[in-house]
Amino acid sequence: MPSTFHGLTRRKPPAAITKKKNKKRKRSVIAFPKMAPELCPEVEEVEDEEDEEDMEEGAEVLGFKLKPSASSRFHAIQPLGNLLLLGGPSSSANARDVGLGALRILPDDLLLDVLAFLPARDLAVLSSTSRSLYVFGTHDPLWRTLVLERFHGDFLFCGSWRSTYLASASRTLPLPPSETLVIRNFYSDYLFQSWLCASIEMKPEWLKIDNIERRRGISVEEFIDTFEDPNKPVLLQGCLDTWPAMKRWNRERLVRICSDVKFAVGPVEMTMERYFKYSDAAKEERPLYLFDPKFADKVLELGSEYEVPIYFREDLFSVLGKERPDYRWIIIGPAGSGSSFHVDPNSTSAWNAVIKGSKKWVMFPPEIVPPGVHPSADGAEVACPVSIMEWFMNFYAACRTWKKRPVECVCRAGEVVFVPNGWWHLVINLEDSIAITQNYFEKLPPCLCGALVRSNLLNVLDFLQKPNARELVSGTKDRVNLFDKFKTAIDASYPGMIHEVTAKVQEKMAEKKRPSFWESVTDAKAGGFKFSLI
Amino acid sequence: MAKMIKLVSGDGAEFEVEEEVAFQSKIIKDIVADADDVIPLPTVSSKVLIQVIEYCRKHAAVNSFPLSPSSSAAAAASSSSSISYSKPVSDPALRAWDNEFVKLNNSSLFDIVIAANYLDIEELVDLVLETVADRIKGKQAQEIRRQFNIENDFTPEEEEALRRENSWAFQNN
Repeated sequence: MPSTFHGLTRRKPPAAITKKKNKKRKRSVIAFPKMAPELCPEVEEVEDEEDEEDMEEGAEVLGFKLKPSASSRFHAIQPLGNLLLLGGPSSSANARDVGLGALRILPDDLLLDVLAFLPARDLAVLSSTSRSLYVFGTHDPLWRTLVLERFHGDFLFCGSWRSTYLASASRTLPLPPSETLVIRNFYSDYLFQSWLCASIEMKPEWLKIDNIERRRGISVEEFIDTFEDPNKPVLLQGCLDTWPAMKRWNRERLVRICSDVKFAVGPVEMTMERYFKYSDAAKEERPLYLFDPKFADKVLELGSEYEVPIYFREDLFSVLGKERPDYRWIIIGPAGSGSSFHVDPNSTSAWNAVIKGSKKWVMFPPEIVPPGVHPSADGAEVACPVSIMEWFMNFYAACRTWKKRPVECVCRAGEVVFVPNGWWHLVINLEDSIAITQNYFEKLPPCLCGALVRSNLLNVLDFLQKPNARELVSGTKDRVNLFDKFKTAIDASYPGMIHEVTAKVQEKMAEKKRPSFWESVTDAKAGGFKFSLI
Repeated sequence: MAKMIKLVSGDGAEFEVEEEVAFQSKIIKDIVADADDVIPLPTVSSKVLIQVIEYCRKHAAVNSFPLSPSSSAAAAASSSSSISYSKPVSDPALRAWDNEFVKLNNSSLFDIVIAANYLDIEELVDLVLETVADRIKGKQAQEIRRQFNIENDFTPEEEEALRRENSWAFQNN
């Protein structure tokens, strides 16, 4: 599910970059091992190609494979460990410090935050003051913000954001002059890690574990009993066989039927065609994601060429009709795009169907906070949300030794993942992917004397009553009255249900708590349950 | 009587401050939550700590919601498809005070931002970063070099290439 807390846009993956670099996104820089001397670029001037090979070999030493994508437009940035090989951290050996003057005392992330305040022209001027500032000033994420702010979705991506800005600003096609300078002898763990995270593929060992339950052709009842009620994830196969989308949604056709229609991509809107031009060429740590909640309204074929799998059709929010919050998205993105860890704040469950491509999922049950994740008290925000690559590099290994391990899988074309209410999840596309995801509130079983302790209806009502629900519920025009509207609508469609459910749940609360997914005692929500319609 | 927290600078000076002032720093807030009222700050000199406390004192009085969990989320929530900007300090008197506060030389400013970053005082970090950016804006390359004592380590050929690249891109702006 899309994350909601990166302080940028709700219900959207962390694709957007704010004008001021998002303060919450502190990179956890790992100390890189020294690279063997024969793999380091020579101190004297060398050919550009050799530098590129050295960088690649360096990455391989660390166990990473580089993406095949286009751009070789980078500097020969090395991790700080290499500086030691040259006889010590003297300033003169590191081009970084030489060219910063008084600014060298600032750590890299703060320096980049200063640069994030600069308009394009000032950034370009600054880049011409020294080699070091050229490296910082051409840091591509800075130029991404500048492009998106000035040109919104109306740009033709040409290899890098900086080139894209220059080309768009000068209003010429073909391509601008290629970047002329490659700066060597520049040592920085921060920028090296930034380059690494943008350039590497997922390691095979990160994809090995696949411990999710898989089912094909089960009945709705079996799904509800085995997975929905006990709140367990499952990967369902065979549900998309009837979808026209499976045969028809290829890139050429999508571009054709969507023509000039613009779709939500991060903070801007773009046509499909322009988006694909970007996603083919982009080599970024956090690629922009096409993620649109109105796709079915914008292009009617899209809405008509898929249908909700049978398991998920009972959806309480449908009583709100047109006033329901955003509930369905088309998701298109290249390898490396995705969402880092989050929980849906609307207390909904979700399903995610892959039409093309494949996704890696990592999921933790509600009561287990993933390593490296620090949610705020109300769950609305996650402090220091690391990028997906960073999370795998720095935290994934840790949880593999835990007793309570996450649920993991690779979901391929034609398969659907069910994400239960309250579960933490991280998703990353392993290749160009097209998917549809939808949120829903499962209808309560007619007989409430089943094993249910936690009622999703009450969760939703409870959630809508919270003071910050206004901020957290996306896509509605009238958030303040949503609680009243919803309650009224439920009372109209299912009279007496709320009352009945409240009573049942309060009964259950008084009983012994049922074991959670991992058989630990507490159900995270139960303890804090406070609900009253009075 | 307000609860007092004791901060100890790197050079051993001790400063007693009201809890709400000290809590402008998220780090201190977390530490104190673990019941520790004396907080050593070995990387912060007393000179810098005095200035940081001064800022926190001024802002504690104004800042009714020190937690501010929704500052960026709420700003984004109301305009979900636009790029969100940092929350501006809305009170003009406070902004004026801030502008006076940052009338310091570069070296002092950098010390403050590094300390504020360490202590996780978000608004102070943002204030200083923006101030430094303001000292870059609108200047030519040589002026910027002078401002920050930057050595020009380009070769003449590289400089020429850069000049061409920039002028091509920005001649109409």
